[in-house]
Amino acid sequence: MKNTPYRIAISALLGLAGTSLAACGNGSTQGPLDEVDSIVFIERQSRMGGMGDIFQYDSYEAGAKLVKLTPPTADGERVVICCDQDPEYADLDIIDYDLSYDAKTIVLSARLSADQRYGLFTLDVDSGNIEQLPTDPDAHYVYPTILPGDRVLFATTAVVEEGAPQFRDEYERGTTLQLGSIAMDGSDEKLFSRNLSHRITTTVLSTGEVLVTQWDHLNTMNAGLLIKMNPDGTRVREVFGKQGTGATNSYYKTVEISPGRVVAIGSSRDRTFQSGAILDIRLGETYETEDGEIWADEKMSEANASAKILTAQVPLGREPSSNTVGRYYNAYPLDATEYPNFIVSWADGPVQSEVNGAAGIAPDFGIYLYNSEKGTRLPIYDNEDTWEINPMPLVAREAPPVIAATGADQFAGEQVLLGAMDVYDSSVQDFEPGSIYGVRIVEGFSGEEGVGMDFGLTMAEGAQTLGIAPIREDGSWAALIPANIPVRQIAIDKFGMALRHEPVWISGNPGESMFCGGCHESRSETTTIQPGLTEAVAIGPVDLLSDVGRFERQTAGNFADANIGVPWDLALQPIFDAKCVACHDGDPNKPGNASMTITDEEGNAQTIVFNLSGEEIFYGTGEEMVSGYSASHLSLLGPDMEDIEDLGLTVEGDMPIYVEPENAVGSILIQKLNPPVQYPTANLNERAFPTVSHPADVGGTPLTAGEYRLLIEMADNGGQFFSRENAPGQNP
Amino acid sequence: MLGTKMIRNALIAAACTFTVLGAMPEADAGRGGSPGVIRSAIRSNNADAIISALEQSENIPCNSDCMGMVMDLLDNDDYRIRQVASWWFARRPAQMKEVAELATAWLTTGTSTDARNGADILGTFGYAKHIATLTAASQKSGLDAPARAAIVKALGDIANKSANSVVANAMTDSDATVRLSAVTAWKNMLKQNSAEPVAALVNDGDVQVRRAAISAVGKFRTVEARVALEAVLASDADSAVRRNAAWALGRIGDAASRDALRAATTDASSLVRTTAKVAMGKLR
Repeated sequence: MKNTPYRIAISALLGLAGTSLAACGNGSTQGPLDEVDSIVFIERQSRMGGMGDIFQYDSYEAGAKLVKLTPPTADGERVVICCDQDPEYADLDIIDYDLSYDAKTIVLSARLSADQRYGLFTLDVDSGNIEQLPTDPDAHYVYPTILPGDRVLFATTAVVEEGAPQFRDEYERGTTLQLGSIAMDGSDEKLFSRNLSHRITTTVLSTGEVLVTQWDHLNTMNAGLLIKMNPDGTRVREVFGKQGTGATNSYYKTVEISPGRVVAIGSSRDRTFQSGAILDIRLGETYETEDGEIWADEKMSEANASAKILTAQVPLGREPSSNTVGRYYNAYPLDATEYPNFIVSWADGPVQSEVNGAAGIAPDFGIYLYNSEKGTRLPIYDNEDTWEINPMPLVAREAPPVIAATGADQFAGEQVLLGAMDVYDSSVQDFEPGSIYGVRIVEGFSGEEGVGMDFGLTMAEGAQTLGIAPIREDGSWAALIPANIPVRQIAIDKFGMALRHEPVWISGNPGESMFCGGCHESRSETTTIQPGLTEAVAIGPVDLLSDVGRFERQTAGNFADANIGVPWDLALQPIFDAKCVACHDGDPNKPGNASMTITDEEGNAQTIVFNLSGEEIFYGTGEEMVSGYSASHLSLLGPDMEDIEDLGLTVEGDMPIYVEPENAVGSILIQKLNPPVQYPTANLNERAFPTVSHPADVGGTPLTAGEYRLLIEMADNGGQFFSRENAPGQNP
Repeated sequence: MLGTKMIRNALIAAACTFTVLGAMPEADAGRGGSPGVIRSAIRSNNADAIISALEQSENIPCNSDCMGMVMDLLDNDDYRIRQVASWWFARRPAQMKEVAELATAWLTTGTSTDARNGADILGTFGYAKHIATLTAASQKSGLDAPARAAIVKALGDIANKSANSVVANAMTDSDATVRLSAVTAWKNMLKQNSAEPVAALVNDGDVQVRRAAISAVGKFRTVEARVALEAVLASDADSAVRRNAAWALGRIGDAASRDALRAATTDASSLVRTTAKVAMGKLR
């Protein structure tokens, strides 16, 4: 048999390992798998490509199996437990599975044929009986995680909002995965509120909460970070990856090691066959228990979290790995010591799509026992023709506690109550008391709403302003917003400009109350609650389009009077045409029309001149190089200076970038215009900056308060060209 | 005897671990690309590498050689590569306009393969103004099934309901792949509120079309399809079709389906039984 050489070698090596442990350890001959009778893993058809980045899920090759190995050595008995017993499953592919806490049931995500989607199936381990759980046959259901209380958590492309398209990231173009749960008997399917991009690969913590990998795609942020939530999708909190705690771009396939401590695969988002380095992530401060285990569940917060790389030579980026280093597909912890042993899936070699693709050789993932202290890897099972992935011991585990579903808030009804007790309580910024007028709530959406593949010369996503919740005298604010939609919160001053962006999309389930202590208050300190209601709640939450349907959340009427979106050509270009273009028309001889000349290494040059007209405009050096949606859009958002400099192009001239996405107060355009007080009522006599206001300073027609508001919102929301109001897919 | 591979696999790696406290590596989208990155990825002939390279290179200044490389990808055999190349041009308005003109020419006067590629481009761009071009192409004679299917798919990708009549017409195409594409396109239309034309495909001769049509009528709770669904649930030879029918009947929720669903709870297929049981619980 093909595996015979491996079997002899592995047995010998395990014998050596046992001897080694006896010699160097405490005299015990017990190995980390000695108390494990069997392991389970997926045997999946090897593939060269089609995996996509770590958030992709629809790769399909017929012929996967769920295999039990008893004992967990290469000379163990290999038994296919799914799904040879039923001919309907002959062309199966399996992406993931989970084992129930009593080790009697497996829930797997499998795809029966190329024209069907990944669905959920239950497998009785003893009898081999398989049943499909009833899910939307037109949606993918992947990454099942069994919850205490006989439910299954999953990631799906099904949409919680009836009639709405699923988010499709305009950058990565995949239909996003969102979370939901279903009872083990197939009843009571619930879909949770959505992130703007993917949510994948979950694990249950010993508290009963769930740890999730969430793709944070917000402007230039583009990373897979860790959040936790209750098993009903409520109480979402960021736990790892930001605030300077991260080690690489994305963290996924987490499994709990001990309370507050998880193992994860860390890698770049793409090109690595969804594999990477093994990280020991501690969500809080660490300590050693009486049993010698390392826990990290004290003062858990992003600021206190840390990551330990347990496979130091494995690249953390997109670059190829090397022989003997390879990359890891999964890691399952076998103990909770400082340097745990893991059962892993690993492939040798570059494990990088470009290099493997050029060679025409797919990586070969097999099962190994990994000692993270010594960095040794002992082979357990590897079939060169298939991938052996997702290994788990087939043992019962203690079930975490069941966290009851959160009840509906009395104010929220079917909407979401959003707010904070004291906006000035912040761990990330010192706000001057009284400086915050309100919190602007902005709805996010992606290309699926007819915008196509780009929102303009910006990395930002779609933005529709739901409205502003004013700060009350006690610092509190409260708003009712639609359920299930991702929103951002922006603390604004009386001029309407952002003082602070919360750099994450959040969303609530119907009836959920998302009431924070402050504005990113400290996660590790206790929030002091004063008895009684906050003023914001006592007065009543502001209704921000909470019962207005998705496609109706668009501006009706004059944008300057009241807007939801800020479509560039409909809302802003009329301002430029009326009050700016007479001077700013691209004529370099007119004052105020800065210019830049971009020259490439061959001496080709092109000059860009400031121009606020709505005409199409093209720029290039020799050939077309930089394009803008309109002259005004390009002139204000500007060509990407990082890319220009990275490619060795020289830039001469005095034309700056006039609009910084998400930074109205720092944008030259806004500083030049010098906006007046907007809130609570407009006051054109009080200005944000000590300078004069433009264009009144040169005898031009001053902007109205509403026009200032539109420009500020455009800048703070991201500088998009497109909004729902001018989505090119819906508006010819 | 231990082979070379086994020795390598058993090699002791450096046992160096360290705790990372520094800032996370940059996670900016669309960074790090260059014409060289694109060229190298194309040489690898790996779709994932090409997709990644173009995503990294979305904002790079690009001369005619560079543009030419990406243009060539617009008629790659792999749809994913055609799609990412179209996306790359969609991020560059000036070039997008030119490529759209090229796609229009392909649809108007090109071969079937040209038309397929042109449809993929316009579908990826997603602009309603291209619906007329795609509609005209759908009426052109002599296009093969892949081209016709791509045209219908593109209309679904644009997702504007004004194309409903064209998509509905494609549901009568002689080729099953075109009919399947039409069902999917119908489901994708924004603000779509009915699957009435899809209902006729519940009994289509092609199993994949039946599966898709049944899930569509379930999605839209097409009451008019109930009787046909019950018949399919009882007698279709394909278990996935029966499963989808059970699911759809649960979505429609008419108590008249109770007997049909009850009978299906003892279906021979494990795909059907639990779906039918849960669907019974959803009947009003």
